[in-house]
Amino acid sequence: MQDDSPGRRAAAYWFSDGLPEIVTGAEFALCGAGLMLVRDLSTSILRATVAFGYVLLFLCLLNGWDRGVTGFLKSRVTYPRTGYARPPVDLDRVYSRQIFTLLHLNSPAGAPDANVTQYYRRTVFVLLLAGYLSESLWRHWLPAIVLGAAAGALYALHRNGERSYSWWSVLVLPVAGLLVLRPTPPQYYNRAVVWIIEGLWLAGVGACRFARYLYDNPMPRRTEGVCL
Amino acid sequence: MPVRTRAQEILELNRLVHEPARLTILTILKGVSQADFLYLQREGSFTQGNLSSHLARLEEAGYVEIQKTFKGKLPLTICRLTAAGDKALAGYSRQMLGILTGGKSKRRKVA
Repeated sequence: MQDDSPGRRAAAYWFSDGLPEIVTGAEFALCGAGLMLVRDLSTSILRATVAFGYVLLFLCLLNGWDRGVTGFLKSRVTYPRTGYARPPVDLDRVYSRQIFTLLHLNSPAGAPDANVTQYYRRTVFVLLLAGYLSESLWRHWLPAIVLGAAAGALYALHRNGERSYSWWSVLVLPVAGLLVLRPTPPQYYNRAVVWIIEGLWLAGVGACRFARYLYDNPMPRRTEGVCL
Repeated sequence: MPVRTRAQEILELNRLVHEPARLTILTILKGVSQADFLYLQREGSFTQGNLSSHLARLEEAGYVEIQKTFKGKLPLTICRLTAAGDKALAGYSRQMLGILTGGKSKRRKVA
């Protein structure tokens, strides 16, 4: 896709206010907090079952509600300020091999959301995987290492995407991992704490972007309504 | 059959699409499929009057569908690229490509 094509700009517009990251980050943090709560359940089988169900529910939330909640917030905050463009939707990626013309106008109708969905898939995959890896080996220093790897992966995967992260912002992840080192971590501690850190980090990055967006785009004197 | 010169091809360009402001509107709408007035205005750096007049021309030609509603007491204008607009833009793109590459791309396709 052309670097500054309208479609790519529209995809970047989806991330311009930081709201998608705030919502996804909050979901991760809540899931981590929930896992912390189930750690005290009596038997390990019951604990594992509840934790599994909890993660399943979390994945459903990510898939179904994430976009809806973000859209709702955008309709209240973003669209009145900088306008509404159709949010990216999941389309078949059949046009990925299309040969674009000189003017790059041959992409199909619809918001080209390839980079947006890639962002979600990559980010969620990396963050989820980090949580599971940190638990699979029972070592108290694992969260710091896994978070460092996740930070590197997030930086590398999104380097050329619509929403890239600076190296200093991803550096927060391993540093936070070092801060929560515990000599004898209780069961489920690692995964829960990794997801909480990741969620807070993602929401924090989104909040910084959101603050800058609000500063740059004060509510205009209204001449146009918003689209819900 | 007479050989069409490049000048003739240029004269046959769809002038409704060729105008920079209208081409900008169509290209933006191509990327998002639908957007409101404010988004178009910001993305294309248009003034309200300028955008309104160009949108009216495009709507008249059937290239853009404009839906005017109210959200509370505020007017809401949603613009969509129609199938005719999509076709016109693709046709313009093809024509322009043919002119700029001297028909090389067409010949390559035939071969």
